[in-house]
Amino acid sequence: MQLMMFLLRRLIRLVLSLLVVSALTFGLLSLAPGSFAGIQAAGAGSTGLASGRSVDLTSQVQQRFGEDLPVWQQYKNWLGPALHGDFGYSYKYPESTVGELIVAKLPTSLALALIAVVLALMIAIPMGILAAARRNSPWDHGSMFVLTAATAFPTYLAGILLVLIFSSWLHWLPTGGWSGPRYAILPIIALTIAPAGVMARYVRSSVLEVLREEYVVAAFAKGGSRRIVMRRHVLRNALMPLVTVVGPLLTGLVVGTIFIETIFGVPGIGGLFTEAAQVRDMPLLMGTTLVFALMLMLVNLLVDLSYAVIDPRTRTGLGLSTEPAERTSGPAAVEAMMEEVKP
Amino acid sequence: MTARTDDGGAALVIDRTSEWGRRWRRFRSNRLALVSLGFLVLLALLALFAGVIAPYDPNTPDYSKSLTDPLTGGNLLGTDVLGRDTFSRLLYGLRTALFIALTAELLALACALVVGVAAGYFGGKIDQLLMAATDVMYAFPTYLFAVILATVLGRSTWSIILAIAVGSWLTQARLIRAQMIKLKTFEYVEAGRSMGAGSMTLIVRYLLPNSLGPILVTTSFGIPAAMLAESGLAILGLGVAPPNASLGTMITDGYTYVLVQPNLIFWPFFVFACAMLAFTWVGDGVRDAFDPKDE
Amino acid sequence: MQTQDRPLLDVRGLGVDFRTRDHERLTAVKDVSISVAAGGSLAIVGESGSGKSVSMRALLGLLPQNATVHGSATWNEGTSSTELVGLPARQFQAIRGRKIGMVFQNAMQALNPTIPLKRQLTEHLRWHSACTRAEAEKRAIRALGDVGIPEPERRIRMYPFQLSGGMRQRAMIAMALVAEPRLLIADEPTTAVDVTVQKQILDLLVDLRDRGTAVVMVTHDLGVARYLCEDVVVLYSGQVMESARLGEALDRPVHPYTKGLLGSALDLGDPSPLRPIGGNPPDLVDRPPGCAFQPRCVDDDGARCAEPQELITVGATREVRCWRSIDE
Repeated sequence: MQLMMFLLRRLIRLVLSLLVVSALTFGLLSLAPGSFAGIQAAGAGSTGLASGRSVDLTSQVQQRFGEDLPVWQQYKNWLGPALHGDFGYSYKYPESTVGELIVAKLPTSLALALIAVVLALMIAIPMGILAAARRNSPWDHGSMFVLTAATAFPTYLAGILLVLIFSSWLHWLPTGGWSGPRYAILPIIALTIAPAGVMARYVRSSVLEVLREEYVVAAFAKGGSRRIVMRRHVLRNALMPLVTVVGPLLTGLVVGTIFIETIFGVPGIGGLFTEAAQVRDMPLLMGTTLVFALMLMLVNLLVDLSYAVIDPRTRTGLGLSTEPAERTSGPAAVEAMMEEVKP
Repeated sequence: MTARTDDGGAALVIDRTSEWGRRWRRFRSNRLALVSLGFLVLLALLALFAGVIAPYDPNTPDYSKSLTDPLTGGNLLGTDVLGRDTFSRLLYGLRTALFIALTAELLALACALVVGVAAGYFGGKIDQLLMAATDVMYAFPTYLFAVILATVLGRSTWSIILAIAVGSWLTQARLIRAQMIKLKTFEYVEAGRSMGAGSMTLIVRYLLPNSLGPILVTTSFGIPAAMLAESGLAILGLGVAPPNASLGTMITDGYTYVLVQPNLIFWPFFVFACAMLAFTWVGDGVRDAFDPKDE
Repeated sequence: MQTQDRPLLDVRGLGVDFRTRDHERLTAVKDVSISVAAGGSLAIVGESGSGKSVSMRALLGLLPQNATVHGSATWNEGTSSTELVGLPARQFQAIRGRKIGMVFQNAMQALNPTIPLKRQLTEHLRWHSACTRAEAEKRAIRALGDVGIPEPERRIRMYPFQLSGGMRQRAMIAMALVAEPRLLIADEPTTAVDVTVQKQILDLLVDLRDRGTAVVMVTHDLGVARYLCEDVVVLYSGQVMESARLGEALDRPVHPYTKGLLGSALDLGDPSPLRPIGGNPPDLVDRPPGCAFQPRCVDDDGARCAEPQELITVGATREVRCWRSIDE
């Protein structure tokens, strides 16, 4: 019951936030200088694009949105169909609806981001644990030096570095394009580097923090060996909060694909967004922005839910556990409340 | 920290001098952070005196030499496709990048301070608004917002600064708000209030000085983030308008010639990457100096 | 109660140094000698920072990496005797929990919040001996019942946060007792609980002592010590200031610090005003060369107090670290 209420509340918040994001984007973009038609006309001369067609198209579009109307009227005209999942036709790719374009390109971006997160976790967890377990050893200092350096190279910086090394210097891998698995290697590594560093550092400090907990001392005092205490008491509690970091990192990566796709020419939703921003393809820009926003909010919701499932304390709070907390009244209850307040 | 009692109205002052001395000693003992700080100071000086050091005008093309190698024809690091001196452009590009990053971060910090303090200390409407805005921003990736803003505002230096600042002030405001909420329940603040100190006095004399640590830490991570945002916008074609150079636009332009003349991208990238590394280590040093996690 | 010649635990000249962040050497425990007979009960009394908890953790090898322990602590059982200082990890594991149990100040912190009580109460039984899951659970339920937790069969399946404060504290004690150690070190087990729970826990420990388990009680509360223990050791700045039979020390304290502690203890039957000890405990990095208590001592005598003080035997059962006690 509590879980349903929780989900319902979050769902309402999600819809409201999406509305605000769409209004904000729409309002801001209506202030932007230049329009799709203008940019196309300017570009037509140099690229030899059939300018007649795009102008023709723009007038169609103007009719549909009514660009002479006030902004809020335009927004209403956009919102109506959008609420039914119809984001209209792209200006730049007039043969496709925005929905079709997104459905076609989203899987590539998601796959890149997911593979990168999994890879980053596979690197970060063992490295972080090992560094914490052998704290202040040369291994700890060395690996943390490298991983800290890695955090300074988010997405496109790492991408450029990789291109400089593997494409420009060694000529092993292509600088960009998308025709085969070879083309995915650099984008994925580029996306992995910084999150791996961030998470490894997080794992290390989280393990160290748990190692200082009294219940770890208590477990040693019961006669636990280092390995058993690590496995049964430390790792579980230290890796639990990792869920909260994975979420933002995943969303960060989804956004990071914007840059990676631009650099490497990967046909994903990030590239679509950039393209739409550059040519003022309003329907496409609105569509892609909202997809990014939706992904972000879903990941956040998922993180909160999974955390609730992992941690028995929140599990009870959400009514997911069968065993209720001991009823205490009087001073003990106040004390319990005080404990709740602490972060 | 020891609290000592003076005679006057606002009587409780936290003795901070020795604490700052200890923090500086702790920072200094981190050799990597110290060297990084030195490197950043050097970069700042190079940027500041770019006009004196640069051998050529950064924006004047020389079509007689295009994409030359370093150390040829009197160009230390070679030339770009328009024959402009890479070294000179690098100095000016560094200047632009640092200027944008510092100004954007300062602007964001100023907004964050005003709103964060107001929301955290006074609560009420401002607080509700801030939290609602935060809720929306959770759904609106900072970069996306900055990209849309930059699209709207154009490619002048100041519009880029504005786009970056607007994209980043909210997280900092939240941090300051949390800090205010934490500090205002502390006993010395209650004590100050009970002695009749006004809100402004309390904020200026107790709350802000005691939040300086976290603020300094965010700032030291905020500046490289702003630098990164600038180059990120440049990658997406929203960097400072030509012919002016920034590290971001130089990297972006150089990327086109990465196979033809790698020097063109290598040098700005090298400086940028070193700066990012230095900022990371300085930030780490500052955080450790303020928040010693190891016992 | 002493049934053997050798005490169960014999600690001689224990010292603990910490290496601080700023690479200074902090001497938390300088010279601690205590002995506990089988079935005996000892109170270790002192202010916070006097090295009570640190020395107890040092005995069990539970200090962080930046600590070094010196001196000697022997564990004697029958004819065998084991040196605990510097004992290899594997052999230590057989002693911790199994031979020496430990009870902590705050159960909220000492119980793992994400694991149900059942596993926390049974896991070490299975580490120490080939004990079946069912048997371990049976023993854990019995231990919970022994510490006065109603409905132990139901509560053993709960998480620590689902129990009330007093219940949690008792569950933690049960965790230490379930393996039936011969010595229980209780590190301020009543400091974090309110008075009614304190009484219950003390009664529990008295009961335990009467059934033959040796108890070392670390406390800053002389009243708590009096309730439970026969012997007392007064620690100050990591050194033993006075060790004696508890009754003796309370009736006729010799060391000025012990007197000070008694003077600052609240006694509801005695209307005379409290006389707290002035000043603060000394810096543990720059230790004064002479008597550690000299700066705060009401009987400070200058020259003689500025010299290092030795423990002096007074009578049959008492040792005092003060040159004045020679006259006693």
